[in-house]
Amino acid sequence: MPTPLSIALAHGNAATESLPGEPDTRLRGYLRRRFPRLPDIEDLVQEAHLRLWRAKRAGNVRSERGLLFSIARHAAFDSFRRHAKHPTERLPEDPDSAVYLDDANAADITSRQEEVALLRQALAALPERCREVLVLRRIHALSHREIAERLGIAEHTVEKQVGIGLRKCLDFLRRHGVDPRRA
Amino acid sequence: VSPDAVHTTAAAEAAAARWLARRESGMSESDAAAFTRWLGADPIHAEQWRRAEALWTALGDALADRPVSAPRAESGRLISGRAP
Repeated sequence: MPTPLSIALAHGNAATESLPGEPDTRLRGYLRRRFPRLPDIEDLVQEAHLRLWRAKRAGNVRSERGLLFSIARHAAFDSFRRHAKHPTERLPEDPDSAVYLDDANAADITSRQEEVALLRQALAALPERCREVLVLRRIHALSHREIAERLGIAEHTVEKQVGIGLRKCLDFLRRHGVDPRRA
Repeated sequence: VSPDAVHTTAAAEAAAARWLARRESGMSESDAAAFTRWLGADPIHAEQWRRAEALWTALGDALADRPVSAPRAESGRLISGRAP
């Protein structure tokens, strides 16, 4: 039976890629330990491969294996969200029941930590001035005028640097198949 | 995903980043009106704006770990060793 992954690969000129077998075993074990209540581990593994393949197609992927695990965690989180939105007969009548919120929160925190780790990579790749401006604005909460004075640059340059930094981070996350979650 | 779709997404993403930077500068009334028009013009705009705002929140955690400032759980989202 063709899986979503095999279909995607067959349609995407990526059929020559070898798929890692052994890491999947570790990935399954990892997901079971991490999300013991998640019912559809196999779907998740497939989904993770699909997303990895998309990320690879979209751009530069350096650590394929690390990314696969990261993506799987995000897929797990998405799965929790889907279950919460479309409760089956096994679910209590209230989709916001404490059980599901607990799971979603646990996955949410994990997802957020992964996102932050990835974001640090994106930030490390920014030009120093651009990162400096983001830190002064986001962490030190200086106004753009104060930042301009401190760095001896024009205010509109500060805004431009903030915009460039944000765009590069968004681009980086998208290429890695990660969607920043709502606050 | 067609090349056009990628282009559209990337363009909306870049616009969302610029709007967020403008918001941080402080928006004039005409800025705010233009922003509202942009936001409603295409669902892709709203989606990319949502990503940009989520990124802004996440940046607090991502940047705070640097030595430039003391680490703090600004958003309160991450588990901390707070006393009960």
